[in-house]
Amino acid sequence: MSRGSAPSGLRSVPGTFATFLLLLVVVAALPWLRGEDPAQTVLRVRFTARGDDPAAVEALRRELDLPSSPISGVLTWLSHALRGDLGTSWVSRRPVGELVGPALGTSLTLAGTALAIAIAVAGLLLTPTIRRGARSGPKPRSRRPGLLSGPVPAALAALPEVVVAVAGVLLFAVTWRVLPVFGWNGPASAVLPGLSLGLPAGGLLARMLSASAEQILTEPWVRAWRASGLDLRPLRRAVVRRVVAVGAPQAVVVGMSIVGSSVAVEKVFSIPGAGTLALDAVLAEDLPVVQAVLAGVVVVGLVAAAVAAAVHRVLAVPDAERAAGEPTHRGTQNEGRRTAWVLVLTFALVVASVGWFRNGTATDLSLRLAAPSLAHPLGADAVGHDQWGRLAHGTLLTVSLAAGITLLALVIGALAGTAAGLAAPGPTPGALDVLATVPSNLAGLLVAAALGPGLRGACLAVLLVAWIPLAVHARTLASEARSAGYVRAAILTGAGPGRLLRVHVLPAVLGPLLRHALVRLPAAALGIAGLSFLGLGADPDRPELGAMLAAGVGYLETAPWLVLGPAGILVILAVLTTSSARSAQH
Amino acid sequence: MDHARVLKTSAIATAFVLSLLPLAACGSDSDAAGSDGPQTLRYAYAFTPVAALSPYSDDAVTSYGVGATETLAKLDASGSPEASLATGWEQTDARTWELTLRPGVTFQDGTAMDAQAVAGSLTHATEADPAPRSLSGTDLTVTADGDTKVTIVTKTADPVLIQRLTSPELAILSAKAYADPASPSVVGTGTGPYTITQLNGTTSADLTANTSYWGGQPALAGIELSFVADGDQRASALRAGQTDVAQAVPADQLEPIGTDHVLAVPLPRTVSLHLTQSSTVFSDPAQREASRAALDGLDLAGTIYAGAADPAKGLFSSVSTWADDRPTPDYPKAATPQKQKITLATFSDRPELAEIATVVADQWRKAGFDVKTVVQEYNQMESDYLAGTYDAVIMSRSYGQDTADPISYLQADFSCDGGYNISRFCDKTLDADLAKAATQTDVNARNQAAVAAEHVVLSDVAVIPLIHDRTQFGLADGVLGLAGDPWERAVITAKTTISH
Repeated sequence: MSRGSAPSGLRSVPGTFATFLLLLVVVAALPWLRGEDPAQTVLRVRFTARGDDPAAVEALRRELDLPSSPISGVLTWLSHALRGDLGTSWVSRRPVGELVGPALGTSLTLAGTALAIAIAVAGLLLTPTIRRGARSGPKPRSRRPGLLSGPVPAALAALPEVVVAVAGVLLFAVTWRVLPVFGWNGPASAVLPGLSLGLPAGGLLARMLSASAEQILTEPWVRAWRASGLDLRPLRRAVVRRVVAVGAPQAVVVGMSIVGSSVAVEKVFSIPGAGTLALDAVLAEDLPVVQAVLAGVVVVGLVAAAVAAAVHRVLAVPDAERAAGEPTHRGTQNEGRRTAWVLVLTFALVVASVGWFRNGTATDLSLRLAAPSLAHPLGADAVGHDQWGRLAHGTLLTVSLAAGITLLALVIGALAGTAAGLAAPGPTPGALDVLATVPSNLAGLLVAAALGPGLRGACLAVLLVAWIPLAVHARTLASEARSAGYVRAAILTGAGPGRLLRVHVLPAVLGPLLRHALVRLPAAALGIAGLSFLGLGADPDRPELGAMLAAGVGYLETAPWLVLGPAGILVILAVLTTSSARSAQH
Repeated sequence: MDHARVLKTSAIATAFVLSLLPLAACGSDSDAAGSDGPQTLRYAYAFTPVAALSPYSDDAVTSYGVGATETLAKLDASGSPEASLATGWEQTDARTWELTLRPGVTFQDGTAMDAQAVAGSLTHATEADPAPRSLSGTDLTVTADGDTKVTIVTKTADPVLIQRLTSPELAILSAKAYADPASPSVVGTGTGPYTITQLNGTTSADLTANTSYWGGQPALAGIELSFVADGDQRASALRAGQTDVAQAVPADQLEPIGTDHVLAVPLPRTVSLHLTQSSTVFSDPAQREASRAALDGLDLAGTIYAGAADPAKGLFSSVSTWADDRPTPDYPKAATPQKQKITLATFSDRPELAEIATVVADQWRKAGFDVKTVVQEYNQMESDYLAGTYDAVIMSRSYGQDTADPISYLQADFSCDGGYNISRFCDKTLDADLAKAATQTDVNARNQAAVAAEHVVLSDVAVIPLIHDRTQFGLADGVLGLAGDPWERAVITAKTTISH
């Protein structure tokens, strides 16, 4: 069979390039979207609070040589870039290459460290599942589902990176004095930022892959092998190979999201990375820098996606070809654990509904940072809001928004990903991989520029980014399903495309994808939070979990209840959604 | 075998991470040793360079603050100019100033600072396009007059020319600095006690003592300057023993650091609530007064700033002692708040401002206003501030930025065509008074005019001053001799020392 053959590989090249070009034009249109002269913006960054100064703006406009339209600007920039001239920054007047090169290098090192930690974490969490699964099938009824494959990864995935970062600094740098607080020199300075980004990413990876691992463990060839009483070690090896094959494209997506979107962690540790450079450049409308960062990130992302695709191809195909027959989805349910979750859920609902009647919007400066007390059982924040009432209102707002976004992302991701997976057998890098590299803050700023800041725009921006990892996952699953023996057998026996999709491909895609989407639900909540922090989300005085988290993290040491509340809710939410996904699937 | 492999890989990765911990421990305490002789001071600085430390940008304050660059004159604590690289000046007619240069000054690259070099350096600044903020709207010619004097001729009379020359943007640099005249280099081209030897992107800069400094041998061996944008991290670095001086420590970190390790400097910086006069609601003085009265009795300085700021008495802070005897404002009569939506905006770069906005919005709602709040990064909002998009804006504004001249500040912020008129205030009488004051050479007369103008805008409730800010330096044990400059310029001087 000719997987990843020349035609499909070639077919994706124009699409990839067109997507890239479109992205560049959208970014270059920023000043027009915002309706503001870049000369004015650049002047403001060089000299704060200078005010109206038409003469200076005019002088700067002459100096900057501004394009007359986004398209002509992009074409000129591209023609120079292809000749190796990336131009000079409008703000700092330094050559763009000198700014973007080191920043990308830094971000890649950081993302590599974080990814290594994430893979190590995911490996540790998955080992028991695979080991036990190979021996006796996935989570038989008699056994409790492993904590390590369900709640623990979900909880890790819901940890806000900034909270891990600040807590890590307080413990490892201030208290134990073993790690640097800031800076980027030597391996030691990569440890805390790497952990801040790697722990949540590891949880996410483990959660997604445990779904795939369990699916693989139910496949007939696994059962046949187990029944045959042969040595189990080659079986485990084969399962691990399949898990790595499914995981590689996902790991790339996780890694790329770190390259472009880890602004908060970069800021905490003063790391001069690509995320911060891109954000600052967008805020300053420094188009040469924005375009170069975007181009750099896209190139890196495409290379990484190609490597992941190769890994997938090498590891997945032989095993997939070995598969034959119809997979059966086994029911796995655990009554005891379910009761526990019903109790947790009931408790959460009671707490929330009581909080709903508390006033979360009245300020009282005499209660500033008040510790939990009888009158305010969850304490008060920096302006004296009752934290319980605020949490209850914030949970409702944030969870309903995040759930809506996740649902939409699931539908779009499943459709786009399945289509891509069926069209080009084998995950060839394409338009999806270009889009997967877009930093989430950049999307947020573009949407805010077009729609104005607000919750509506923030939700749209989060959605714009959220469907992509799901689509990449769906593409991998769909192309796996298509190459499975039973599907090819169905094609040979004359099954039409509709039946193929309905009976064979979609069931194989939707299960793992639904779980994946639910794991990402807290990420959607955190995405809104991140934009709220930039002032592109909820009004600052409106109760919203992410905004509460962002405002509270500075007080982690003096008033930890400000962080524990919203972070705890996000973790509970993550654990609840993944366990309900488990029930829903079976 | 395979699960073992997974385990092994994970174990190796974990071991790798853990093995870095002791490595890190070695790195962080390396310079605690050695107690004799000059030390290197580690300085965690808040503002990341925007233009590679070019003096024709806000970076000018950075190289000035660490003692790399100097200006012809500098401001004393009260805001009057005093000698620096120039030892004296004389106004020979309304438009002509003659400055006498300090003898025996050499640049850090070894060349002599003669009249030619000074005139060249200043001429580059006048030719810069866009002009540095301190020269905005001026037109002046600088010529060398012999070896030790320069003559500055302004196109129109400029009574605050010497104050202008105190701006770090007009630092005197050697000819070598101007390879790119639009973005001069301060690496090894200044006259100050410390020489910048290297700028490492936007991460850090290295400085060594300038042994031929005109003011005597600097007390430190050098400075390790790190750019750390996050205030909590600067405080953490100080507590972790990883920096000696942390600039601009946030109020909530003062307690963990301990008050004996903090140098608080009152600033000419006031956080005020501007009520936009083009707003439908706030065009009515009675509504403005109702909104002001609703905020009476809030103790923002004591709570949100945790006592690290002073309650505002007017636009001018306690740094400006001449404003202490200001008259009480004559407020208009208040009316019942209108039920029309008003938007209150502020920026997120200073975390306290968003908290103030939340409190103000809540107070206004309790009083009967219908309020929406908007908080974004400053750079995203400035044009909307100036265009009068919002009904009210909470602003943190320094009136000592360029010339430290109160009249220039009032003209920019409260005259009809002022460049920074957030209140959209316009009063022809006030404009005429300010224009007249601007021609005065007598500092006392200018200050009195400033107090009178402040009385007009406060009585009209165009602006409600909330607090006067301070800057807090966190200091490690043994750090002595910081400049404590209220004008937010000088920080480290030749006399700053550290003994571990």
